[in-house]
Amino acid sequence: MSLDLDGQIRRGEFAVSVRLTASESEVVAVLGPNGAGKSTILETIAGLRRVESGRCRLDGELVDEPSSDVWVAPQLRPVGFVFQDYLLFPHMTALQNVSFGVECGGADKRQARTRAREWLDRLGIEALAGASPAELSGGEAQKVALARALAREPSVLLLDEPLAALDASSRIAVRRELGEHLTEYAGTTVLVTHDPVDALILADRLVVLENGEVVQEGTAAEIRAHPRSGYVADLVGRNLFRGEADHGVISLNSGARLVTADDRSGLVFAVVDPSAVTLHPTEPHGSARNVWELDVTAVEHLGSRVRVLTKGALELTAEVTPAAIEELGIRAGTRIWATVKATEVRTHPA
Amino acid sequence: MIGADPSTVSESRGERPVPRPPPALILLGAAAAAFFVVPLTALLIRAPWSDLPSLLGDPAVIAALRLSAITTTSATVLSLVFGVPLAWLLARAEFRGKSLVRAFVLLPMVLPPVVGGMALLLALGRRGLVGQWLDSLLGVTLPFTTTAAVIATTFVAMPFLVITVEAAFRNLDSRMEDAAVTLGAGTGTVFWRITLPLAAPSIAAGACLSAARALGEFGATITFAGSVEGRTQTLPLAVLAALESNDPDAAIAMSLVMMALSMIILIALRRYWLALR
Repeated sequence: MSLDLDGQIRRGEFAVSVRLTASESEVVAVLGPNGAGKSTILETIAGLRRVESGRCRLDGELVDEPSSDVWVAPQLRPVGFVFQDYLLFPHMTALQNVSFGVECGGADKRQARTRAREWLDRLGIEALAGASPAELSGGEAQKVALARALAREPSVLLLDEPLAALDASSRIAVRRELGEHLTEYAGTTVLVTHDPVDALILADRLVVLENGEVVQEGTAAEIRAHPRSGYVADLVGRNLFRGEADHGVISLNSGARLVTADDRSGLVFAVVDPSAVTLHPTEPHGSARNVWELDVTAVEHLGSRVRVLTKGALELTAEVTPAAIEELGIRAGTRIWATVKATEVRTHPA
Repeated sequence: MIGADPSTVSESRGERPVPRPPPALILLGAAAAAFFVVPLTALLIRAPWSDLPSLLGDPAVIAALRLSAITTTSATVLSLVFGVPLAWLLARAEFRGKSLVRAFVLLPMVLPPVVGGMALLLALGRRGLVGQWLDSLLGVTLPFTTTAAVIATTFVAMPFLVITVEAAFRNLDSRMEDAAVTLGAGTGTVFWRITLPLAAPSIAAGACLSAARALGEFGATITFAGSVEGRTQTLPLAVLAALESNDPDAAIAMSLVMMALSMIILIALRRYWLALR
């Protein structure tokens, strides 16, 4: 395990209890609402904050354990931190920002400049070397911040809401590029976000945090299929498909086709909210463009709602009321018809 | 324009109308402006412009100019060297009695300078708290020396730098420093390469304020260092001496020099203050 955090972190009145492990080259997303303690976890891994009890290990080395008085200062930890608002040093150029960390690692100024230039090059922003942070767009600043963190060659990369500061138009492109860089990066990545789409697209594994507690943990597919609480269901319990979009029709690998109102082409993720899925006992004749006959595999009760898991041309989860379950007589093994309006199929470039 | 206020005059279309100020404000404001404009203009009008070169060439005046340059520069440099670290401690460090220390440091800003001079005399004078040891152990006597003039000037000037720079350190986004730490910077590197450059405009502004205060310093210097020509008699003291010896032209000439210097400081200050916004 290149990261093993197990402990309690206090932040004023608020306490966060967390067990977070990650192995090399894994991307873990910590997902939760604002104020759930997500950033606190990153700050603790970086050493900007101490655990109150428990311990933190990086690369197998104990870096924080109050009970045995172990503490490794943040500047000595093998960590790269990309802050939400990037925190580029305003009195330095992009290149100087990147070479700063390399210099702190012991390289001389010339070596550091060369290495920094290589990293800017790698992220495709070598043209911005001489720019001051004030001149950069949000997406550019994010790349400089990423280059700055990666140039130290850390074993753990921490990303705090890496896309939150971007406007909707640049977000998609930046997310795709970030995904590519994370795939190339050999170390562990811990990504904090409140946006489930970011987490689903970028991460291998999700840790869902609510009120300072981990409420669920697992791969995106596991959590999506079996959310353990209404909160988690709302957050990530959506249907996610990957396929090739062409003029409003998405062809999935399974052979199924999804009709969407989004006019996007190429490889996409398609997201369908379970509550947008309507179930029918017989073949419906409505305006919905997506109609499938499916087998119910499981019926899960989550408080006042019920999640119906189905399988057939595709795997689809629907969310309905207990009354509807009774009325339609749905249980595992039932064959039903499911419909989804084209306007309810949202796409994101993959 | 429906229901337009007649007292509102729109200068041009599309711009925010500028309200016409109430007459009482115009009257009092104009009086205040005249209060500053008239005396300073009088100084310029009454200046013996043609005799200026010879007046300023007088050895006593040159000595005073030299001393003012020494005390102002030294006080500003000393304020920077000691005041910036003190400001950092006051802004960032946690220690007992911090408010008390701050009160002591800032007191000279509001204290009548003559009181500051008395205090220095009682501390560093020949029979003073510290001065007696300096005298008996090191054979150093401070009062009535140029060093004393520098000390008196620093005493009144440094608080301006400390208060400005402390506010800057306090308002600085400490997360910038966090970012530097996560990039492997030790506390020293963070201070020199992040904190200090980010606070630079405020440090410059504080230095300008200190320099302005140092240039005009009079009370503490005359009390602690006296007015010894060529040794402690800076420009302000020399102006008084010139007036006392019935040489108003020399006094005016030196006043003009100080006015010019003050103007330069004001312009510099304006630049840094604008940079702060």
